[in-house]
Amino acid sequence: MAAAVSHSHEHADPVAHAWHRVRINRLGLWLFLISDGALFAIFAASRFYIAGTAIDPHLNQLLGLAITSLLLLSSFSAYRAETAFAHGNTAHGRTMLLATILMGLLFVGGVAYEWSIAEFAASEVYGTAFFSMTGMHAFHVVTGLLFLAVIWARSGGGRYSQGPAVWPVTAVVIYWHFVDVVWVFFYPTLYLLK
Amino acid sequence: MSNGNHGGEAAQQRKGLMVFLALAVLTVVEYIVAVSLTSTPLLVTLLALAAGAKCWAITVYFMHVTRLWRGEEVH
Repeated sequence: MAAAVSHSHEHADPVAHAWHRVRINRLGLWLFLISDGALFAIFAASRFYIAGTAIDPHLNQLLGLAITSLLLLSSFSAYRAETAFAHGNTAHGRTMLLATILMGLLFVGGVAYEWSIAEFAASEVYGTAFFSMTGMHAFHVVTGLLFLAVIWARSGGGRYSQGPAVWPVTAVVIYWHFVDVVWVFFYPTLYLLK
Repeated sequence: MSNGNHGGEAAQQRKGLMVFLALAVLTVVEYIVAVSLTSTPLLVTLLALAAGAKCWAITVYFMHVTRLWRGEEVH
């Protein structure tokens, strides 16, 4: 009974109803991220199962550090974008979204370059782990870039300005951070072990 | 837009900058530890700790995971 009364109040108040929808959407997004995270965990576990902790000595360590720093920086600009939108600062938010997209593109370019200069084949043990893990991660980066581009293109005119209206920006930014979290584990797994 | 709103945004941006700097320091520490250490078990342990700390910071401060169980949005 109490729940029904509360529910009807939320419908009577459009803002409360909008926040209610955001809470449901947020839970759905996190459930998706947990299931997607399990996929990445399986990839990481497979890497240790087939190749132990060994890495290829020919890996370009500086390139690995550079693309890792880029992705980290892009997470910060995505955070700045979300914060700006949440405070009605749409112009700054759009600029930060664009910066995030640019750094994401550079990250993908770095991974592509790493693939092109790799001195190991995908058929080798370490190569199987490296190409499958970076490939699956890069696919997520590309989808994140598409989401960011859509949000940037639709964010003119104050569409995502303050309150529950910011949720589309928040959702895409959370997804982008998730991609960063995955790389937080993949970077040492692929580049830094011995 | 009120000055309070601007102040709130500036405070949040500062918090984000602090988190980013912590993440950057941890990444550099990871790299230095990896090129310096020769003991694999110690290296794996330290890298796992650093990655766990970075994951926690991003999840809590950038992804706002606590909003999952908080009743109201606060920006």
